[in-house]
Amino acid sequence: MRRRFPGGGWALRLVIFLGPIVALLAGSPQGYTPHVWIVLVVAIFSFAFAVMPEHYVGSGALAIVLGWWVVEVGDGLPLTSIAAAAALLAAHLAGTLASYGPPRLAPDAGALLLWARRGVLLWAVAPVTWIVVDAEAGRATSASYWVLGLAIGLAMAVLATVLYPSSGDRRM
Amino acid sequence: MTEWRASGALARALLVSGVGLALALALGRPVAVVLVAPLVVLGAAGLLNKPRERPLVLPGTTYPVLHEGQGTTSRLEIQPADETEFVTRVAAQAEHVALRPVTGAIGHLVDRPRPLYISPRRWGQRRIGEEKVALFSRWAGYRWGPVAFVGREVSVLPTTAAYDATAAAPQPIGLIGAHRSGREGDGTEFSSVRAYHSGDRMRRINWRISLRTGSLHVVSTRSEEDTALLLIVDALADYGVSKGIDGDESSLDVAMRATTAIAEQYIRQGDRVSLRVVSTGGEHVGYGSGTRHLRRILGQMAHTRPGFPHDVEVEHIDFRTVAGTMVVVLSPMLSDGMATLAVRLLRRGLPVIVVDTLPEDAAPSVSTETDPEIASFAWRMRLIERRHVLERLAAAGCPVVPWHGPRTLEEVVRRLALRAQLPRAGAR
Repeated sequence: MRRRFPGGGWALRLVIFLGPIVALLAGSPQGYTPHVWIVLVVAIFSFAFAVMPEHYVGSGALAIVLGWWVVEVGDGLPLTSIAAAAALLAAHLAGTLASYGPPRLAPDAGALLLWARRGVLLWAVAPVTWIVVDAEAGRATSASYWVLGLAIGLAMAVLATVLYPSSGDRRM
Repeated sequence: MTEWRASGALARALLVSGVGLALALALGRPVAVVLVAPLVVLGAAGLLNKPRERPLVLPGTTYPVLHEGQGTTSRLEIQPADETEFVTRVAAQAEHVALRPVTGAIGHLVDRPRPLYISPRRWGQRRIGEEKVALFSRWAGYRWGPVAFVGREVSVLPTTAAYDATAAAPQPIGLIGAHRSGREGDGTEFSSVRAYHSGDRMRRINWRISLRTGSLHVVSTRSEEDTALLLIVDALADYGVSKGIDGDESSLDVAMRATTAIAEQYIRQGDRVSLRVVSTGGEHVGYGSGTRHLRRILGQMAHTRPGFPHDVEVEHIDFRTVAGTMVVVLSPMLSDGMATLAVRLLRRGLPVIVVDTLPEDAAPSVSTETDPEIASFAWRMRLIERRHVLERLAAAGCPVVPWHGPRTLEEVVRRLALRAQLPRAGAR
């Protein structure tokens, strides 16, 4: 087992494994502490994610953490959610790097650096979003979220259709 | 051919983003938006960078012919390269082919290529460059492949360990060359001082002796001629374990490397060398000299596969030798046929040297069903028989020497050359 992954591969898998768990425990300083069993479930999913980074089980690990935050925090918006977003993103990016090839593939230094830079930029979206949502707190209603979501969804659908016509459209 | 498909990373980013946004909208939970916001951006970046063209991937290696131990790089050309961000290559692990990185797996950004080094460690025909390639688009949104490439077959030639032999061939009969002939002629090696005959060159007259004796005397020399060398390689079977150029040698490894060293040395000094491999394929190269001829010999050796010839008995192979040819048989001498053909050549008056290629620790490969005790006993019996064969060969005037590197033959050839100059008693 030890020889299965190169040194960098072990590091990536450690980040994949710890990312969802850290995201789950990130709310503890503000009083949002998960139950032990949920931590265990996430740990199991995270372990599977670390072993099979290209498998859909990784989505399960991240979704469970997300679900716990939604249920536990309710309408609140704790600052530690930014740290949780960082941990989730780190796990996802480590999974992306690990799924570039077979387990014996050593991570490429150039790709690590590139994704580290991208990770920082992507994570910066989380605090910006937190500030925007926090500023809008009290003014926005559930109905306004629905309208905003539908508008974004429609815009993305139109954009995707324009940018990526299907093979049937190309033949026409 | 494979198309670009959404990667697992993109699917995960979109799935988690979708779940998060759905929860945020359905339940009105802003924390979900904060948690998935980076993944939403990441997913969008992946989608927006979907490649539009099918890539053309052209793998290739630098050299079609290599010597064992030499290395080459496997390169990959991707067109168009601007839509691809990351390349993953996984080379197939082949016997006697070393890879660097050792795992054979290498991944790099397209604009910072990293070479994959391939080094065949044993002579023969080797398939190199067999690999699987996967490409990833920018932001890892889409993946192409993995696609398998079959690589190419390259001839791996045995290593050469050349040396400068000083021993002359026993019976050189060619036109010009480096070996001292038995005949007198226009050479540099002193033969005798004799009375002047018509036709002798003036510069050969030894004036001191001529004045002392009162009649003209000349210094005669031996002529220098080239020789013909026939190399017979026993490839009926391969004994011992081969671990390539860095490790243990099998009998065929020893034979091939020894043949290479001998052929290179004799060709370099202008002699005519011929090769005959006693194997299934019966690889054969006629007499010739020069660098191109050496390359032909090495190329034929690289094609050798051990086994018995189908079309002819080993004892009856016609080697097309001419008078004066020196024969070197490279064999582990575990086949009666090889001993018989060595004796047959010896009885034709040719100088024959047997180079023993059996490694000291060689053992037969036996099936798991065979009792190891019985196999070991049978092998010991076979070795005793072999020793008797070698002793009988030596008694018949055929020197047998184990291969100890390029200078193995030197002393033996020198002794054969001296023996050839001795007067012989002939019966009428």
